[in-house]
Amino acid sequence: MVSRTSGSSLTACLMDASVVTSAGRSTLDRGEIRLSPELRDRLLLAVRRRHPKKSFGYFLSDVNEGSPIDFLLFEADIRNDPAWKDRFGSYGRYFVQHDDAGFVAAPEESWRLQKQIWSRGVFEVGLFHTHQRHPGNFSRIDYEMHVQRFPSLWHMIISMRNPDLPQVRVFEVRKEEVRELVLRDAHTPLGHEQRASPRGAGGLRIPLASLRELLRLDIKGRPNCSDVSLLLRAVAATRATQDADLLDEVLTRGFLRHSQDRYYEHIAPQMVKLDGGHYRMGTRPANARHFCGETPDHVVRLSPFEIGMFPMTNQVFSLFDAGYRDVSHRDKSHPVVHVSWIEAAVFALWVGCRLPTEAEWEFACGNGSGAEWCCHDESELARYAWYSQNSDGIIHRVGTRQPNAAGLFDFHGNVWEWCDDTYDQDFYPRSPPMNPVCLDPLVGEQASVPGNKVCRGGSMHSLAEMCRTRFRLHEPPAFRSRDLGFRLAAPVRQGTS
Amino acid sequence: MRVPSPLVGLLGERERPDGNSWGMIQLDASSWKAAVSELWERFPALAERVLTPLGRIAPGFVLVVNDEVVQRGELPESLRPDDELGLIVQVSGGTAA
Repeated sequence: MVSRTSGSSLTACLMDASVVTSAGRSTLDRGEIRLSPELRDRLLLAVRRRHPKKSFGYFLSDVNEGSPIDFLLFEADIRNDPAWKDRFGSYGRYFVQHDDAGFVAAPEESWRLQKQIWSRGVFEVGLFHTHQRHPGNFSRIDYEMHVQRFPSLWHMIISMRNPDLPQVRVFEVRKEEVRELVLRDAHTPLGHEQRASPRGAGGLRIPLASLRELLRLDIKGRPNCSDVSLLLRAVAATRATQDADLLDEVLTRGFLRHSQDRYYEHIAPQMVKLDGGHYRMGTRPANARHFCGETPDHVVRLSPFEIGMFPMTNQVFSLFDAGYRDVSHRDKSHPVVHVSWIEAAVFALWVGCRLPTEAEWEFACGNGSGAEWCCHDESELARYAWYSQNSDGIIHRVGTRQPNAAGLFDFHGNVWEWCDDTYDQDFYPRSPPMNPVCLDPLVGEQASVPGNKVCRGGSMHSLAEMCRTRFRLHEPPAFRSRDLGFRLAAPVRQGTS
Repeated sequence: MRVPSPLVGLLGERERPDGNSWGMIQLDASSWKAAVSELWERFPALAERVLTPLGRIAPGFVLVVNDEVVQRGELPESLRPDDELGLIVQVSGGTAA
């Protein structure tokens, strides 16, 4: 409905937009959204100003639905009005404990903004909303809301889980599938995108003399270099030389010196050997709905491997990072959190281990079963996991829920866990059947989120669906948050029972 | 009646109004009940999305008549010629009901 005085000119504008939209679908059809740095900065500034209040609104365009030119932010949120509050509460304990979980625009403001959109001659091309505690994943609730009301729009989620490092994800939402889109800088010509290294290594050119210095340990056996990113690059650069003498000097007798001792003394007692074998990884397309990157289900064969019985604790991590030793307020048997993938990977090397591959993690979590969780159904999940229904929003000591059938604890909930793999939502269709791991630099660069690393398992804030055995999440390797940790894996050593 | 761009695709190519106004449809109805019947007949995909089986506005959508938001649970009794209706989306997340 528009006023009669402006109706005809508006109609003309919108007709133009309609025509150009049909012709200009190419950006979205390429599976990408192009956002100018100016628009992106303005949006993030607005979102940060409102934080911890939730933000939500529309992206607008006048030409191409994949290239928004502006956004509209709703001011009012009537989620806690009596008419709505109970409905949210019916979704579960998380929605009762967090009265900012979910959002509802006021009808009057919806109408006011709709008139603005029409009067400006632009049209809605996308939606956005923030997650305050959750990562930038697309939940069932987001999915149901979207497919009912916005069949033609894409959807951006801005995770404020770490307000210093907001994470932006964009999704194309169809009834049968949700797919993550690539978010690109609108000012960068096609084919000239800046590509991140999949290992966050930022290149491998380090002079030999610097390698020796970087990988030197102090008298207590800890790295001299406090920049873990540089350490990881130095390890990769050393390995890339394939120089046996250098490898022996700088790694075997250098950075990795005593790593086996550290493994046997501190790590081995809490490692469990799994015999490997085969299982079906991933999710059948018919069951995927809003779960991104989980399809197709495919048979994977794994060699025997060891995996941590628990997520890594503050106590053990303090061997590497003395900062964790002095924090009296932390329970030493709490999982270590706020560690980046880079820190986790360097620590793993330092204790003679590595991070688990996604395939190993999924196999270990579900003990190779086809169930959604390590238990038969959601009603049993609280016995095995600290998650939104029973955690009270806090992290709990490791090993305080029941183990799964393999004798492993805390795969579901409590803290998300880094995996070794680079995330690629299209990896499963071409995953090798034997010991798959996505580390190929090219794969990382072509992925929707170049260089992101996989996280699994959900956290104390997570809804049950995010704690699923097959649920895939990803974050940049330098990302850290208060609900993100890791557990170790290792090849089977001789003599391990 | 005017619908916003997220719903325009539900009007259907064949029934998209005359090609002369985007998202604007003309209804020949003197009551809400008649308008509902016409929506079901001419724009079934839209009607299925925005109307309940009892002819009310489905959760998640808002009806506006002559620039006034119709409160949930209420509906206009009668419609006059030249009444302007808007049927818009109410953005929300966390509940579909």
